[in-house]
Order: sequence, then structure tokens, then C-alpha cells
Amino acid sequence: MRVLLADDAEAIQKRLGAELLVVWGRPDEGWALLESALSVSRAEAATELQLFADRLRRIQTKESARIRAYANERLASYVDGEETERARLDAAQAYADAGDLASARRMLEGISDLNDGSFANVGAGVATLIRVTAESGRVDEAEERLEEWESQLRPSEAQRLRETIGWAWVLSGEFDRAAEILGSDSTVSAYAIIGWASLYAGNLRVAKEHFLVAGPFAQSREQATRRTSMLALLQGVEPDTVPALGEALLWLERADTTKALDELEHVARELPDSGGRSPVLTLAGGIAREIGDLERAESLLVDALNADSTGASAASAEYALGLVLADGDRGEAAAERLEHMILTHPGSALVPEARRLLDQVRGAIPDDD
Amino acid sequence: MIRRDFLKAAAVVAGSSGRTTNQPTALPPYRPTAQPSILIPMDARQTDHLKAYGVAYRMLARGGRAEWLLNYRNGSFLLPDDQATVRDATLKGVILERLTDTDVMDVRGTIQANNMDTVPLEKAPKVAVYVPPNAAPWDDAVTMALEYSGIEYDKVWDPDVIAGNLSDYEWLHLHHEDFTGQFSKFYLTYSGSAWLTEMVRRNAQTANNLGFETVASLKKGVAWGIRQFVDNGGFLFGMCTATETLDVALAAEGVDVAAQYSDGTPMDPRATGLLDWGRTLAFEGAVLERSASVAAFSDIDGHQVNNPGLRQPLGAFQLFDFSAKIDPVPTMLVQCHRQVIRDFYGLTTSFNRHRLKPGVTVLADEVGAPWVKYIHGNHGLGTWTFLGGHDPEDPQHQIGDPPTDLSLYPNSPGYRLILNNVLFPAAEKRELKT
Repeated sequence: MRVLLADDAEAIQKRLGAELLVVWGRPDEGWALLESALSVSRAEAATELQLFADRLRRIQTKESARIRAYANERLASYVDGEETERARLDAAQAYADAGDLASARRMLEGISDLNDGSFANVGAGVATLIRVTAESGRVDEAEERLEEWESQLRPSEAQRLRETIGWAWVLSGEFDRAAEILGSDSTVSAYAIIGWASLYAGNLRVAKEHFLVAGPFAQSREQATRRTSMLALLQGVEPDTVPALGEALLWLERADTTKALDELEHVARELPDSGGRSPVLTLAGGIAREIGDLERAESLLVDALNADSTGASAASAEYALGLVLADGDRGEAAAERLEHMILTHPGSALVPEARRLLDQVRGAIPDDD
Repeated sequence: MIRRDFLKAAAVVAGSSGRTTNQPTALPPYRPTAQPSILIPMDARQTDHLKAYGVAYRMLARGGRAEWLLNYRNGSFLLPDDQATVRDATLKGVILERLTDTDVMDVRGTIQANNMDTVPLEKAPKVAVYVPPNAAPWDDAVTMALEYSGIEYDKVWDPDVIAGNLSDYEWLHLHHEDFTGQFSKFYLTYSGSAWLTEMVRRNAQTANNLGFETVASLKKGVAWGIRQFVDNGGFLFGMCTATETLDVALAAEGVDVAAQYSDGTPMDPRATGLLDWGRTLAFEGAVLERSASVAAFSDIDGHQVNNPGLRQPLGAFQLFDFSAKIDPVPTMLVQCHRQVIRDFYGLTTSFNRHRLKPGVTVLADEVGAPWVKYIHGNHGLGTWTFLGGHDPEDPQHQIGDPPTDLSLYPNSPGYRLILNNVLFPAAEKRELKT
């Protein structure tokens, strides 16, 4: 790799190095290297960009999607006619995958024939447009476009768009609209989305039922893991209905962590000691740690352990407390917590992570960074 | 136990039993256990082989006794069942099995009937690692293994060796030090690097402080101090380039083997012929690499990783199978759950067979290759063991590579060989090598 990355490496070596960097999870470095090594010939450069974008497509991360968008946008400037439109559409999809909706829209606006239906790949283009519109928060407009074009879309594409629009309604707090558009959909993905809608509406029992039906295979692996984590939290909450908890979790979904943290702490104090206070405080403690408020995180997690030191959430609360203490360079205190956690909950799934963290705070293995 | 005591005990045992070294050893007398025992299995069931050594070591450090069951489930440990050990193993993720007295009798029966033996472990050896004071633990396989398994050690450096402080320790480890004083010939590739500049500065200052004219002469003095440590009964374990250059430095008393960039004068062109191999531990008759621009030292190393015309590819090496009851020492050193292990490069990766002194015990080699990987021998009242290569889990190791995280390799067979060496001095055992 040193040879491929050397300043004096030949262009073909650099391009190979760029692909390797993508495979190794460093797509931004790969892109910088490729840009410096593109062929002078437009046709050859186009092929190189296409190969690079194809390589990126196999890696499902936002970072990879962003770089794929750059590659496709650049590709659009190296090709002509329909190939340009195709590259811009691919770039739009990639920008949308990366969460950069403004750039996705910019790419779609450049596809001149999309709105009059003469674009060769109209289905994919419209689907991307509807998706970007929904994810931009213009959910009504996206729903209208879907109604207009649904007959020309593949059924699977139309279903995916209904889910996208349903999820957009969930995020805007319009839970009934979400249920309405997904009402006739019996797929596990639809169950998962309605589960989240129920959760944010505060109906915990219905949310749990839907998450259980959705199971581990609906949507992406990341989303399945999120559902499982949420299910674990909900199972520790006794009341069937807690609207304030739903509201707090919706703030969290919208990435307003400060508001979510305040709300979660408030809700937790209203819940019984062994009926939900501890897991909700543990969640709040984890969020406080993520935003760097270690003092608050420690206080919340200590409260979580005081509320319930033996229940299902105790191991995760104590592990999280170990993380907070380690973040604050309080290695000895962290080690003490982690040792206690391992010895008290030896069967917990978090024990291997706790052992690793214990090794790190003791200097037995290198730090992750 | 220092080897001189070890041999004294061996003489008493051999004398009282009237056995010759060719007779099979009697089993240790059966000692009924007053309490249930713990077995630390070291076969495929073990979840963390490397930390298991630490659990056994700390048991000894607390003043307890243990037994090393050679070849029984790949070198398991038998310990008394005490709360501290169970706690330690739970924290470290080491699998234990609780045994009743009947189970222990079954184990002993199995050992008696097979090529197995038990070795009492009596005292946690005091461990020293020869390393510059500012070195991080992540560039030395032994310090990584010691840190990961939780075995305490002290760092020693040139002033400690010259002052004779090695006598405070039972076990000494050397890693990638270049005892020819040529800074591992790193200047070829890393000239101008801050770390190399610091290495040269630190060594030159140390040489000056200790009254040596050059770093090369300092290192020869240090090599001699290390040899004396072995002479006096110490256990020496060397890896990578420390193995080859230690012997070259020992052989080169009064001979200039260092390149001009190192000591201001070129290597003596007659150096190879002037070396005195009677002073060395493991090797003899080697031809020195005369070019200052080739990062190799001699033809002891079989792989010549930095010698483009001679570089050999990595294969795999195979541990030898010794008779546990007759050759307990080499048997201890090869306890492992894998017999064939992927090879790994170092500045010195392996040792050419034809450069080994007579009497050197080969513990592992690459079948069909002219080199061996892992060797052991006696010198004076002590022993030495050399393992070629730098890092068993980073076969192509290069300077600047990320450090190896042993929590990702808790069952590393290569690292087990290192830890066998750490526990080896803890054993009280008569030596009955054939």
C-alpha cells in the first residue's frame, strides 16, 4: 500500500490504491487519490469513475454514499446524452442515501426530461424525486406525486415509496397519516414503521407488538438493531401508555438531543423504580455521554443504578457508567465499576465489551484511537 | 527459581532416586487435595489462552502453588480452588473447570498413561524486559503479551545491565535491540525520522555517561552482561534481531563489526574471520553482512527480509513433540493448542540450521526448509530461548503499522509460545534431558 500511496506512484497505481482505500473503509481518502490520478482521456476517466462508483455501491455507509455521489456527479461531466442523465440520477440517489437532500434535488433538477416523462428511466427518476421530496419534509407533495405516478412504477418501488412517505409522516408527528398510507401494507417493514409511530404516540404496548411482528429481518440491519434495543428498553417499562416518553423519543429521532434528554429525565422521574425508571435513565445517561456532558451522564447513570441495581438494565447502566468514567480519564473508578459489572452480571451480553474497556483503561491493550 | 537452584534440586532428586537420565521419571507423589481443584483448560475450549497464563501467574504471585499439566489438554493448569482465582478468571474471561478429588485422580491417571507430565509451579518469576525507558509497550511482542495477560515486569536498560542489576531478576527478555550498535540499520530507510534521531541521541548519551567510546562498544558490554546473567543461572528469552545480534556482539569482542555511520570507522573487512564463536550462546561460524546499505547482519537469519536478493517467503513452522516425562523443559516451551503456526517476519525471522551450535535444542522448524524458528539451550547455570520474528499476529510488520490489539487474538498460538517462556522459570523440576 505504501507503494500505491507514494507521491511518485504512477497513476494506475494510485487508482488501484484508491479502490483499496474504499474497501478498507476510507472512501474519502480513496476519492482524493482517484481525483489526482484520473486519465486525461475523457472516455478513460469516465470508465475509471464508473468502476470507482461501482466499488462504492457495495459499501452501505453514508460516507460511502457521499463519495459515490461525488464520483457520479463528476462522471456526468465526462459523458454525454442519456449517460449524463443516468449519472445525474445515480448521483441524486447517492446524495439521498448520504442524507444530502439539497444536492440530490440539484442533481434531479438537471435531468431535463424527467417531468415530461420522456426520460428513458423515468421510474427510477421519479422514485428518487419522490423520495427526496418526502425526506425534505414536503410529505404532502411527495404523496401527491406518488398518486400521480404510481401506475407507472414497479409495485415493489411503489411500496418502498409508501414506506418512505409513511416514515416521513412519522417524523412530522402525523401518526394517523402514516397509518393511513401504510394501512393496507402487511409487510414487516410497514409493521416496523407503524411500531415507531405507535411508540412516538406513547402507545408502548402497540409499539412492542408491532416490533415483535416486524422481527429481525425488516429493513436494514442497523434499523433492526435499533428496534431490538428499543424493544429491550420498552420491556422494562411497566405502563402501557406513556405519551411523554413517546414525545421524548421523537425528539431524539429528530436529533434534538438536548430537548430529548430533558424530556427523558423528566419522564423517568415519573416512572416506578423497577417499572421503567432505570432503563429510561440509562438511555438518558448514554445520550448525555454522547453529547459530551459527562457530569450529567454520570449523575443519570448513578440514579439508574440506585433505582434498580439488579434488573435487566443494571448491567448496561453500569457499563455505560464505566464508559463515562473512562471518558473522563478516571481509569481507576472506571475499572472498579467494570469489574463490579462483570462479576455481578457475568451472563450479560455486554461483558465482552466491558472486559475490553477494562483492558483499555488498564493499558493492557492499545486505545481504539 | 534461579537455574542454579533448579539444577541443585534436580541433582538431589536424581541422586536420591538413583535414576540415570535415560530412565523414565517417576510420577510426582500423589498428594490428596484438601479442597476441590480448578483446571484451566488450554485446549480449544479455552476462551482466552493468553490471559490464562496471567491467572496462573497471579496465583503464584499471591503465594499459591499450581501444577502445569504438560500435554494434558494442550498444557492446562491445575490450581487449588480459591475465591481469588475464580474472581480473577471471571474478570479476565478465562474458562475454568471445577474438579473434585475423583476428577483430579482421573486426570493424574491419564497423565500417567500418556506422554504427559505434571510440573509444579512454585514461584512467580521476577521478570525484566530490556527496552529503552521511553518505549511504548506496543512495539514488542513480549511486553504486549505481558500487558495483556497482566503479568508484572520491570524495564531494564543499558545502565542497569552494566551496573549488574540483572541479578535482581529471574527472567530477562530481549526483543529488537541491535547489539552490534548499528541501530538496526534503520538509517537506510528512516534517516531523518524523529524517532530514529532520538534513538541515536539516547544511545550515544548513554554510552558517553557509562564511559564507552561508541554505542557499538556499549552494546558489546551490555551483551556480555546479559551473557553473565545466563551464566549465573538466569533465564533469557530473545526474539527478533536481539537473538542474532547478541551472539554477533559476543563473538566480536575486539573486532569492529559496526558500519562507519555508527561508530565513525568502517567495519573491519576481516571481521568475519576474526569472530570468536566460543563466546556465544546459540550460533557459530556466521558470515557477516559487510554492506552498510543492506539491512541484514549475517547469514544466521534464514529469511533475510530486507535483503532483496535473498529474501525468503513466509511459510509455517511446526512445533516438535518431546517426551514430557524425559524432556520436560522443551515440552514446557512448546505447550500449545496448535502444532503448526503461521510464520512471521522480523529483522531476524529464523535461524539457519547450519549456524546452530551443537547441543542447541530445536523446538520448532519449517519442514523442509534450511532454517528453524524456535531454539533453546543451556549456558553456564542458566538457559536461553530464541524465537525468530517480531510479532506473531503481524506477520509483515513494518514500522508505523498500527499496534497489535491482543484482545483480537486471545487464542494466538504464537503468543502462547512467548508466555510458556514466562512461566517456565516458575517450574521446579528436575532436568532429565536425554
